[in-house]
Amino acid sequence: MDSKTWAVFVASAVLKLSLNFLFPSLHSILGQHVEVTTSMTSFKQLKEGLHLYEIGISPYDGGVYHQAPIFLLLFKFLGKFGSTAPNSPTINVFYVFTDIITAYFLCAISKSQSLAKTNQLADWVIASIYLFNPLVVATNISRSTAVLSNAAMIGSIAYACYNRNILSVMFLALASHTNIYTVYLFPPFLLLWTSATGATMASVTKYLIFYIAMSAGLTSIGYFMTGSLQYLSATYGSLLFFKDLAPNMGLWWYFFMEMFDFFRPLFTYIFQLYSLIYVLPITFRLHNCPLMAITCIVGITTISKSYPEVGDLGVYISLLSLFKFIFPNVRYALLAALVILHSLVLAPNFYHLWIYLGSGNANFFYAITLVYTIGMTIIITDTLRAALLIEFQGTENPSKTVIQI
Amino acid sequence: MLPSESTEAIVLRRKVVLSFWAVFVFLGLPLWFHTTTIHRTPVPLSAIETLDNELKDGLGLSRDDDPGLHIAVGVKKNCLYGITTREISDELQRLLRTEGTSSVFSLDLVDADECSGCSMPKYTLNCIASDRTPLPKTISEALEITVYIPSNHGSKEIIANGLYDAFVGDFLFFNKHDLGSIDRAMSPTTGILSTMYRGATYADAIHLSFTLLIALGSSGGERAIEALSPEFQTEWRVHAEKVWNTLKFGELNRYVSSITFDTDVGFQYMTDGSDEWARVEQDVSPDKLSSLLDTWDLQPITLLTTSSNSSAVKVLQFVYFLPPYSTNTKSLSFTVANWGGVVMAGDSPDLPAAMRTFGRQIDKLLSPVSFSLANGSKSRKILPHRHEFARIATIMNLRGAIETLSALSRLVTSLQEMAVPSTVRDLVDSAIKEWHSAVVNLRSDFDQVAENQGLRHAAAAAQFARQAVFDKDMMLNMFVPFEHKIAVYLPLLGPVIVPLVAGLRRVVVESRKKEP
Repeated sequence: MDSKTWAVFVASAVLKLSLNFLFPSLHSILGQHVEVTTSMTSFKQLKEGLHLYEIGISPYDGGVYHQAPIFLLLFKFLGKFGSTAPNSPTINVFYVFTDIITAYFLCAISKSQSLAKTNQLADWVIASIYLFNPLVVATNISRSTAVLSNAAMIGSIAYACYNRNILSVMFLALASHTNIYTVYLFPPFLLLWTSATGATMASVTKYLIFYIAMSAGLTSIGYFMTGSLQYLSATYGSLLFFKDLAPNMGLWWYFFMEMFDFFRPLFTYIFQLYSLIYVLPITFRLHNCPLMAITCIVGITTISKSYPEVGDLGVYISLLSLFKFIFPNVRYALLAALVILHSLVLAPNFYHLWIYLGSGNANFFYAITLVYTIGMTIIITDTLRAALLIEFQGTENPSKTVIQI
Repeated sequence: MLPSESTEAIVLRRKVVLSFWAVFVFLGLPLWFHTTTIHRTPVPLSAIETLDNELKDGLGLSRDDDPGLHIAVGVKKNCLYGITTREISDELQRLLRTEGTSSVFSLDLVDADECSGCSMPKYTLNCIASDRTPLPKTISEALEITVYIPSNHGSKEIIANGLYDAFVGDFLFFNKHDLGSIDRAMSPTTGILSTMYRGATYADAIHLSFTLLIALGSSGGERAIEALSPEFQTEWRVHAEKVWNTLKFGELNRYVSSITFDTDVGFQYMTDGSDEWARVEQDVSPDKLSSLLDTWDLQPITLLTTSSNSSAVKVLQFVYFLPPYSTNTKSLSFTVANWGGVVMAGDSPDLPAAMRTFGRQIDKLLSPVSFSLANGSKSRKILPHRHEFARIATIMNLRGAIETLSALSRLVTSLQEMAVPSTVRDLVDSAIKEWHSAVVNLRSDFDQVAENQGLRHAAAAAQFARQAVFDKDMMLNMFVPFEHKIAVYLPLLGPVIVPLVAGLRRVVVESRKKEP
């Protein structure tokens, strides 16, 4: 890690700490924005759950807390070093440190064997793209627990790229425990884990068993903490069955607002199936570049999950920054950037118009989420097309060209 | 010409297409099938039909032996208007047959003036062709069925309808004694008002709820505001408590399970020519009321009646009428309560006087606390005839229950695509169970009926039946035809199925090319 990269780390830490110091209520303001946090990642609900847990009441009674029980353990541990208030020094330092770790992992991935043969951006650029991304900064300051899930996921990728597969499995299990949609990354991760030894039945089975064992271990932690498996319904059940109907940057909530109860199960399953159905085909198609497969699946789940946030887009863009070699073949970068920019600017305005001023309605906000999704779709399809084009053209035989007919 | 693909690329494409199809076929189709299956819990249609037949056969009750099911009414000559008793009786039987109640009880008319040597019926039909009727002073007067017939309107239909309404239908209680300045013009279509004091017939099984309605004519806003003032409400409550204490002293506990005072104060008005009721709630502010009054069209206002909810709670509505200033206003304010109603009218601000009258009416309706005997001494007696009416009400409730259940069975049978949740089955089972309890009670000792247990079971059966028919989950999914399912599913599947089918087709075509 060169000095520039460390400087970026320090600068981002100073930035975030300064923002927290100069604008003490910024975390509260951002925490109330549905674009930045959802009920599945809200720090406010985490605090409520932590309080209930500390006084001996199950945090999953009452439908307030929907996050993994391991967060309760973590923040209870952090509480020993100081207050767990959102703007307390302990939490400030913890979240800044988490983001820096995530950036460190990204830099490590860029230098791994998986991307060794490709042109890469400089470490400090990759770190900057993540650490100074306004979406990531906003997510960090809002104290969304998605920061921790994303860190675990990227950590898992990093360890897999360096053949530290056991650690990678552990981090992936941890990421899946905190964000169920990370399970979708298991097939491309299998390719990563078996890239050195080859994908034999024995190796696949080994990693599968270990992953299941790790996940079961984390689930049992929750069982011992709460005394029952009821929390699975409150956490994974809420995510999968969309129990908490609240507006967010996703596509689900508008459908379910007006839906007849008879069709609700069908739509829930169809929507979940829609994000699942791409996992295997993308894994097969991009088997030569599992990292790209992981990135694509992250992008698809960003738009198709039940409770998306803008921080997911920040992570996706940061992962895309690892693939500098596809940038020349990306055709609609400006269009996608403008669409995303417009939607991110208008979304909070339209939400404010709808909820606080009462002069708009849900259609305003949902239209912007549709625009946001279109922008994301353009990015995903364009980058995937660029990657497939690179693969087709090949680096060994650059005489192959694709002609538009 | 397109360059040929490598074998590896073709195999890869097959894997991709087939993996899409694998998720679609092994996950998507079973989920689609499972989530769109209409769940129909079987409803006991044959049991409902059995109950219907049982009711038509008279529930195994013997009319001749059971005095509660055979009611004789004496008719005085002054009610006949030249019509024979036979004609009135035939008309009455026609009405009973039309409503399907003749199988369970009967009303017979006896010529009261020419009944020599026969035992006088308990009930006497008394016709008064007068607009002013004094309050009954004796029990016997209270037990009389008094039919008000306007002049020159006597007919067999009117008298028979009056009798029918008195025993079977809802009735009006209209006391004109305290109308004060109310215009006595009535709608010409309302040919008859019949009154019957049912005393404590339903008293054991009901709550009494007093609702103060302020019927508002086009009077000044000040008075209306005053009527809604907190002081007025407080005074109302104070006097309502006094009434209650009076009634308790009158041993009402023997008849009435409880009395609740509904202190909702509101008023209803309807502008002429409109069919819409407007109701202003208790917490209306004086400013809002003023603006409401200002926007009223000062046409003649007609206040029509509204039936109170015919569910468990019987509402005795006390209407305090504020007459309009204009003498040309045609106004008619009275309530049609299930059980009885009291109308107070007049623009007198003397609420205590109004409440005293109200209390007297309650006394008359519930318990003749004091009445004059022939020897002039006062005594208290329980009105003895509630048993008959309790049995009749039980049978009416059972009829209502079976009609509702039959409607449910017709609905379920005719709409095969309608979901029937398990809650509906539970409610039907509960209704049938209560039905059987009510019938057992009816067939049992007379005294048990007097406890109105049968009435409670029958009312519960009717209530469960209503809840079953209007089950929310069933109503929401009443009509989910196949075409609607296609309309919902196709937009979901269409965009996905096209590339899937195209990809599969290409795989199949490539496989066939290889085969030769």
